[in-house]
Amino acid sequence: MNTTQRNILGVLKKHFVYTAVLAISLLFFLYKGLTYLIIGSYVPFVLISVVVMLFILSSRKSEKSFKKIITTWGVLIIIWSFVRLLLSIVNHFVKPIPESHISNQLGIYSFILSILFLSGAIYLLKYKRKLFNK
Amino acid sequence: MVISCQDKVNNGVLLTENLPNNKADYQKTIIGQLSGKYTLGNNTTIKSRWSKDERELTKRYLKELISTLGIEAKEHKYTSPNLNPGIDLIFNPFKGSNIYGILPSTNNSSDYVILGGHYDSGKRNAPGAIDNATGIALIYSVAKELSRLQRRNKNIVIVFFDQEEEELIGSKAFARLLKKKSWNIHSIHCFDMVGWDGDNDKAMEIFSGTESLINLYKSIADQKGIPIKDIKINPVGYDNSSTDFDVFVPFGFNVIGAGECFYHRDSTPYKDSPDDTYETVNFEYLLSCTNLIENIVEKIVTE
Repeated sequence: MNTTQRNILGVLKKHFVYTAVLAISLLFFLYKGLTYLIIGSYVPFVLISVVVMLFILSSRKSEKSFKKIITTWGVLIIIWSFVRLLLSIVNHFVKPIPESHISNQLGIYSFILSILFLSGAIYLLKYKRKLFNK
Repeated sequence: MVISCQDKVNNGVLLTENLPNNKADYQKTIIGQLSGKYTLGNNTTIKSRWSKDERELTKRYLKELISTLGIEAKEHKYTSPNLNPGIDLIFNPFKGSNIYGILPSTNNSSDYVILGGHYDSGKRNAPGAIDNATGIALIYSVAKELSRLQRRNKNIVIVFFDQEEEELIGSKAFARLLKKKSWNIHSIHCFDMVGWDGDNDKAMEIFSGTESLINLYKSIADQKGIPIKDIKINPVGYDNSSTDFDVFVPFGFNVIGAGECFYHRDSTPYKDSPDDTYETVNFEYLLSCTNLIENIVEKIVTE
């Protein structure tokens, strides 16, 4: 672990809520990736692995790089949540999705999950600068 | 605010009364119960078999139905990825259950004959009377009648597939299960939509890549005066995804699909619609097809 990594770790330790939001978002997709890997689909696992690797590599480089990866990750989560929310709204108010398997996942729990992730991503983006202000 | 409304799944016994003894009558009862015509125990009605809750209810009904044959109903649970990895990123995998039972041979044989058909319906609010309550009724009838045989040289597996209407997910999972088992699979017979005969010719459509199965179906149909409209498929590079039959071909099984003349344009016009009701089922045709399949499977399991 180099000096930059130690600094970033120190900052993250001081901001528990921020770190928890970041960790939960990553763990959620890591779990999803592993679940799919077990049943033979590797794409979600590859994607989350790339994100985790980028976090690790950027943390070795500089705080600026680490912040950039947080931005990228935040944007990806916003896109993910937005697509799900949009599909939920279309399914319930515009045209019901004909696939039972998909429609079943666009209920209230899915809606709440998407809202939570959207809020979490906005929080990650909004407080990112404050986090590394010295 | 998006709110999902889901009916609570009733936990009581669904089959509270014995099925009629007469084949034509119990077929009507089964199709009526599966398509919302008749009410089940605790005032439960299966109006459609599309949503997760509706399929859950159907699953319980099918388990009870299999139990009436005096055999244990088994549940084959599976989890499968979406067909597009991009969808995997956004949604959860497919989860479902195939329901099956084994009518054992009378001589401890390791040979198996599989009779399968799907139990889900194609669209929201579609009762699925013809598609595919008729297939379920046919399979149940064949198993019930053959359970009376004194001698069966092969085990008969009856299986009701989940999620056929969603890219044949259930039957694909079952095909993988069969590959893992040490069973010697003689043949697989899939039935989908057996309740429409617009031109009253009693014809049954069959499709297979196995010459011996086509010939067997044709010869017994010929004895009974039933026309057979056959479609010979080439298993090499076969890549169709219309019905459960299609998934077993690339696995190399001896498989045959049968039903009303879908590809010969004598098939229900109400498929996947709220009009696929009990009233549109041609029960006489279903009985004729059932008797034919019964004779064919009897020939296979007694030879």
